[in-house]
Amino acid sequence: MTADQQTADQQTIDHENLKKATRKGILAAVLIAILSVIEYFIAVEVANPLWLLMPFVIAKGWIILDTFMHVRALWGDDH
Amino acid sequence: MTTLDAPPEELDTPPEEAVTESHGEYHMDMSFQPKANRIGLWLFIVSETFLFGAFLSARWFSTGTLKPEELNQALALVLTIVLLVSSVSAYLAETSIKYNHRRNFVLFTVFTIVMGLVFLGGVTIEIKEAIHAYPPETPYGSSYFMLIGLHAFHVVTGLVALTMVLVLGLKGHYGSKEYWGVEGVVKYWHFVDLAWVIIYPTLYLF
Repeated sequence: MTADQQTADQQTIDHENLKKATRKGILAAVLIAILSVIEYFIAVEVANPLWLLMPFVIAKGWIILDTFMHVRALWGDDH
Repeated sequence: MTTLDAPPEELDTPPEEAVTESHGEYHMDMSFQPKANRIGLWLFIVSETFLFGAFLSARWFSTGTLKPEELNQALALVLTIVLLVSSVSAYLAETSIKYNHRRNFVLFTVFTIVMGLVFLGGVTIEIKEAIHAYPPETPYGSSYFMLIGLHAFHVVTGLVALTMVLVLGLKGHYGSKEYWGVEGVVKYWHFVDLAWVIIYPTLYLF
């Protein structure tokens, strides 16, 4: 990439939307990390934790599908 | 009017909304392509889900919720966090190119690849421990090695795809209007993360 191209690109960066999207992604990741740590401690402390852990798996899966994979764009349009 | 609605004598003429004439040549309107690509990728992801589902159900069928005492649950938690960090980094790479921030796109893609490699390193350590504690000949071991192996293979293919996207990005491909290549690969990477979110508790926690 040439310096001119880089300068042209820098000028057209949508900083406001980029910041919003970044915040959304980091928030989702923090939420998944917290759920994972709670999930781990439940598994270590509780015997037969299958049903206790199921909501954590579903919640984490949905956050990834919705925030990171934009599954709703299939029937709406968030792109 | 669509081609199917057209009377027989008009079938030889391309539909006006799909074809434009320029410099004496016909050009197809490809505006539908991103949506078609997206649906195609989702169908592929659904087929992959069935593949992982088969091996996950094999684990339940062969051993129920029984698991060996020697399982390294702490290492698996660390691997989960590493893959999660790589996932958010991939998301930031996609978002950066979507809003035209090329430098961040390159940085986050490189970071995603590094995290993927760290994950593979952790899996290698885990496999070295597991091969003695619960060998593949045991019911749990066979499910464990199939699932871990299948997932690691997907991580490797994801890393290859991410590297290709990185190289193309460095050559100046992609921008805020055309970034399907990045979106597709990043979506696949998130699927790899999603699969791990289910594999991790199935093998280590339940």
